[in-house]
Amino acid sequence: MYSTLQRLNHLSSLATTYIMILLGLISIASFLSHPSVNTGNVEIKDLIIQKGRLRRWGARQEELASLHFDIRTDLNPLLNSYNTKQLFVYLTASYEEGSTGNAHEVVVWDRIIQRADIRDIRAVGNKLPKAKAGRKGRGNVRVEAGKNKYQWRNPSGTFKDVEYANMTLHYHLMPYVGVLSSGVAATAQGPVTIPELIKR
Amino acid sequence: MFSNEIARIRKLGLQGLLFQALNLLTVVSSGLMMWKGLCLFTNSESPIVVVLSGSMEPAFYRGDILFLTNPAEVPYEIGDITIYKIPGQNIPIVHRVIESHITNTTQFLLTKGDNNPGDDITLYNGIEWIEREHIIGKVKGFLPYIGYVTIAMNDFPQLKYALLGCVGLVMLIQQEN
Repeated sequence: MYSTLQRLNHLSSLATTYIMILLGLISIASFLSHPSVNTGNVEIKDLIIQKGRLRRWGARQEELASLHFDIRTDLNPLLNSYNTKQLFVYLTASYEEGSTGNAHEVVVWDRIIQRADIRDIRAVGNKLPKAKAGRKGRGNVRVEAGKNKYQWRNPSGTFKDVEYANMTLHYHLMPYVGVLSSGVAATAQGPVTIPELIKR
Repeated sequence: MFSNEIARIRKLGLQGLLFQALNLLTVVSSGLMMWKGLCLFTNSESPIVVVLSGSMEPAFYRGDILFLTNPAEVPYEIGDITIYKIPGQNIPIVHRVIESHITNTTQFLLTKGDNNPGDDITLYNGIEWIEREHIIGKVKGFLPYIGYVTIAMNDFPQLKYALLGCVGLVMLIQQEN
């Protein structure tokens, strides 16, 4: 009849097949039942353009934009979905240059929300408070007077050619297994006009 | 033990041996064809990769498997996780796009690892922007842990040989039944 090795072989191959089928079904099911998010609000405050340098060796002086912003949105549906490992939430500025028509998109702020520390995100200013251990909240994202985390520059070195920018908060969903997905979490009310350079 | 084997091989004869070899070749070539077909379908030179570094933690850990696609006509979007290879360095890097600048001829990208404090400009080896030619693909699907087998085999080559030996032994023993 069958030897022990053959039995083991059959058992392990059967187990792997079924686990793979299960994982496939989970990823398909969670992809099909991807929850929708009510888009929240991003409010941009005091956007300014200044001369400055990037923090790297040999950087030339160029125009850099900096801003403060408020975010208000609710990502609970995404975090309550069973196949969510983490959310990557990022605020982007997308704009076009008038004369060349080049399309630009830049991340100005981002934040990782892990399922393990599901909680409300409340931030005032640049610093984000640490989570209290064991305290569970919901995925309400509230950022007040947040500051851009990355320096926003234009490859041409100047914002003269840019009239306005669209600010959007996106999310990127990382599942435990399966398909990665992304979407819009919050938008600003209309485009933001890029101001004149502040001369010093 | 081996006399038995030799006797059996004798019994197979030349034709039998050739048939066995042909069988083996079929298995190998169909595997290769499936891989290359997947490469064509996804337009990526390596549609399945294993994460080798911790720079995208907590999203990806060492040993996670990523499935990539690389549609030719679709520009990369900001927030996409791309795998790129800088000329002169043979280890592909899995990082997220944080800047995209589309001109009418090309698309310039800047990437950053979620777990790294700064952007990737220091990894680019003198290039200022990443372009399509550097990119192997963007991450579409995710399967945790499984790829750790390959990392373990690369880190401990003895394990690879032990595994190969075991497989050979099992095949020999199974044929005796």
